[in-house]
Amino acid sequence: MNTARMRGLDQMLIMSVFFLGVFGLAMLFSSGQTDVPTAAAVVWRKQIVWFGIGIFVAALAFRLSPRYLEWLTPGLYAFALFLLVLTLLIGTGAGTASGVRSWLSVGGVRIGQPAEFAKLATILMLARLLANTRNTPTSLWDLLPASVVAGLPLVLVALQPDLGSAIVFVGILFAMLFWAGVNPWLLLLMASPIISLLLSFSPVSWGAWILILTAILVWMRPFVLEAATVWLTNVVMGIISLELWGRLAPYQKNRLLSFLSPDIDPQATGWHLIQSKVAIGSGGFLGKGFTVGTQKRLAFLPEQHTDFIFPVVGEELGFVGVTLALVLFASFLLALVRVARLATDSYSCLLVFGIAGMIFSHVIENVGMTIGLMPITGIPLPFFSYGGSFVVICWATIGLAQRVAWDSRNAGYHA
Amino acid sequence: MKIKHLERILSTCFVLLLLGLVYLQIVEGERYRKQSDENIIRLVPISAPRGSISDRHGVVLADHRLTFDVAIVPQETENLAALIEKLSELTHADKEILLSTYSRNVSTPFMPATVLEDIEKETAIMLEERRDLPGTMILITSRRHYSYGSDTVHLLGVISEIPPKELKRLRPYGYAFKDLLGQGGIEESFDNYLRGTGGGTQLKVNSKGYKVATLGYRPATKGKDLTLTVDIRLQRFIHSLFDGKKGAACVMHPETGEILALVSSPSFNPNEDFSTFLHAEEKPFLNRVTQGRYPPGSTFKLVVATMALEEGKITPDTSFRCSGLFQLGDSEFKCWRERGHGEQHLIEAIRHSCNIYFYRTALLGGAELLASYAKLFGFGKRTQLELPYEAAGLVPTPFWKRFVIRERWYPGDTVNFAIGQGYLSVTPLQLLRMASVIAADGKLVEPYVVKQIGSLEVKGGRYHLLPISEETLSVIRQGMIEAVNTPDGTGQYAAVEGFEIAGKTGTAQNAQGEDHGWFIAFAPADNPVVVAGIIVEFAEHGSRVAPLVNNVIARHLLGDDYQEGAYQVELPADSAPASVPIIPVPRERPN
Repeated sequence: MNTARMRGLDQMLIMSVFFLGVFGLAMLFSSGQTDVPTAAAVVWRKQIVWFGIGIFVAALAFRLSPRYLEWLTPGLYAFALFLLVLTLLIGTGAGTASGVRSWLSVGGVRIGQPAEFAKLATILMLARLLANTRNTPTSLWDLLPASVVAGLPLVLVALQPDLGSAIVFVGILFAMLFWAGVNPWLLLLMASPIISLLLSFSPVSWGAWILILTAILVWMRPFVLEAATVWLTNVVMGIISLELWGRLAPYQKNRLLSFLSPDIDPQATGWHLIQSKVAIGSGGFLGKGFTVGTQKRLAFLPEQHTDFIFPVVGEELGFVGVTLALVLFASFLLALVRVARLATDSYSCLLVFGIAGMIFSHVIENVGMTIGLMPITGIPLPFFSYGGSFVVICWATIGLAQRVAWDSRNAGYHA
Repeated sequence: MKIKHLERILSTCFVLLLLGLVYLQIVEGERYRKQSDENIIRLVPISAPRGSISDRHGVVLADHRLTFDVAIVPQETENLAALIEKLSELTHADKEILLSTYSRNVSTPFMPATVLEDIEKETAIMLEERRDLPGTMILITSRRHYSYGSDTVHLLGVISEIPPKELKRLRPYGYAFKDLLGQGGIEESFDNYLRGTGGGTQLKVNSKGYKVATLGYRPATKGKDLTLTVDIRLQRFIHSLFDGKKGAACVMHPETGEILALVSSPSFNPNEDFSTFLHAEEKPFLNRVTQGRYPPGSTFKLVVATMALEEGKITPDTSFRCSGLFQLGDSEFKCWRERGHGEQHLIEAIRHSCNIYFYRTALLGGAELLASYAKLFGFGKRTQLELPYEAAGLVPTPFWKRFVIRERWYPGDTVNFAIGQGYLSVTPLQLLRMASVIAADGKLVEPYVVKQIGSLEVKGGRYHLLPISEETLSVIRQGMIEAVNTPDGTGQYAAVEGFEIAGKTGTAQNAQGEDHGWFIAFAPADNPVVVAGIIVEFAEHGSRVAPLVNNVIARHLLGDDYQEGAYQVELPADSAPASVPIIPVPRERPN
């Protein structure tokens, strides 16, 4: 790359990604350092290979003009949906969740998780849709097309079932609608059925929520039909929640239950959460030292190289380490937001913000679940967790974001 | 506007995460640190060898025997079912039993779980040498072994795994799950000294409980060895005399209170599985010496005599006439000899064990006075011998009867009291101590059985000098000497050549069957060094016990010179004093 090109790149984005990548690789190396034989011992080397592939894909994505990408978008989106359907039909499981169908395999070799690709494709499709919407959506009816675009892959992923990724689609949708200028209160109304669903386990809090919702509806004065729909949906959600609960897979139920109370069954269901909290908590302020965390070394911490790599940071590097990680993620997100703000066209702008929304959802969900603020849903932490498809997609989004930054620099926009 | 919202949402989310982390790592950090340490550290206890128990001459009564157990280490075993199968083939033990023992004992992967206990040494060596049994190991453990088995079981007690109920109470004193606890006897009352301090190994384990490193080691300290005052040769001899019959015998040094032998029969062998005896009708678990409660019968006449002499109610020369029958109000009380003993003074009355004489004497003093003298001799109170669950017995008083039986005290009750029947109940140990008071010039000694704890000598021989005059004691002693050493004495069959025995018979009325026979004695009469108290249940009368007593005393005094069979006396069945059934006392008319 020549210097002109380097100058066109977003330096803050590069720096934060560089440090996140190094930090992540170091922790992945540490997660393989155990006293108990583990498959995680050598994954850091494989991860370097994936990083290499990811950076190559990022370079390719950087070459891709946003215009060309916008033209490609419907095709990519359709292809993603096709892959998700295919996964449901012939997908295979992995590891502990072998009952789920989230992998596509060819000849017994797993080649990737289509859900990760679908996340990017959905971002692209939403960006295209919202960029071409002339007026800012003001009613729930206006939000329907966007909801369908995000909803289709969401449902397909949820059927695998992969609850963690499904939630990411919600995060992407809300982030992009928000960025497109939709009134946050309207978004709250849209999210209200899900809130009803979650609160319906306690009749008192659900009743309180319905009252609050009614107050919001009266205050916002949307169309009568719309208000009635929202209100009724909430009521119905509250009523059918138990039916839906019955349809969840047992391990999903257990995970939700142990999120509410990890001590119900400490040996089985609550094990992940308890050991994760013990690992992070026992790190204290400065941590036990790089590679010497006992929770990890002696295999108390499950999935320490994938979903539960954050507790390794907490245990070995303490509060200082986790704060550093969060600061890096925050600066990465801020860099993305700045790139989005300076974007030359609304498609690129929404695209980059959608990427930020995806990364944000992953970080909040992953870190939140390791400290018991979120239910355990099995979701990787960007740049830290080991995993092929997700690593490649992350790097690809950075290539796309840098292209947008480069375009805006060359067009004369400056921060 | 949009950016401001965004900033707010972003910072709220990140601050929430940070707050969660602050809570976990800073606020609760210490607690989680401890929890993570507890996660990885396990303590494998090493039990301390229990102290041994030996007799006064250093003969070991209880110690350890090495045994070989087969155990399986779960973390080193690949195929448990196949291993068990092979082990069952090699040891000829049932597969099911091996498996059930294993599943009962298995705890954590690094702890060997016993599958078969106490195998032959040859089998153990054979298993040890085999290389095709991965995860199998031979544990050399020690088991409590009682060298004299059933001879000493009531004295020593047994040990067993601590019952869950007891554990709750004893946990603050350092007892843990599966610890051994003494049950009954010395094992129980001296458990604290005998059990020693356990050691342990600190292990670092992983999440599956597999051992990854050893962190620390503390050896166990052996418990204290105990030396008893008991002479095991005498103890065995007495037990063999009982030959399984029910009864109890206790031999003591009258001056020091050292227990020389303590035998309760029937007995059981503590080295074998004795659980079947738990509910046996003969009650082999009962230590009859300290827990058996019997009416003292005629032996109590010595207390009546002491009371009357000390209180000046009679003199040694006071004589009463015995016609064989005694009228009290509407009731008649008989002497054991139907034709009566005629005119006799106190020493003669003791010699003949005349009921009538003591009816009259007791009535002169009254029940209150009699009860207070009984208490003076230590009845109704535990002797504080170091064995658990001692019975206190009962000394009735008019006050007691009013409040417990809810009846008034009749003169007939006093008459019963005088010949040691009715409500009065004593343990053989208490009765022995009464005899020792007479033998040791009024000293009520504190009996003790543990002579030495470790290298520490127990200071024994403590006594309480009773306010009984030397004259009184010598009169009663004379009565006891004559009871054994005159042809018409009730204890004549206890007489032996070579030394003078003083003694008194007694017959304890037994509503359940034949009466129990008592005999208390000391020797040599002029300078007693041994006092014995024996009860044989269903012996019908005290004189039947006499040949037991003389053999016991001879065995002790002669030591190894004692020759078996030298003192066998043929018992004439008809001449022995039987107890007289008490005629129910009719309610007296108030007038």
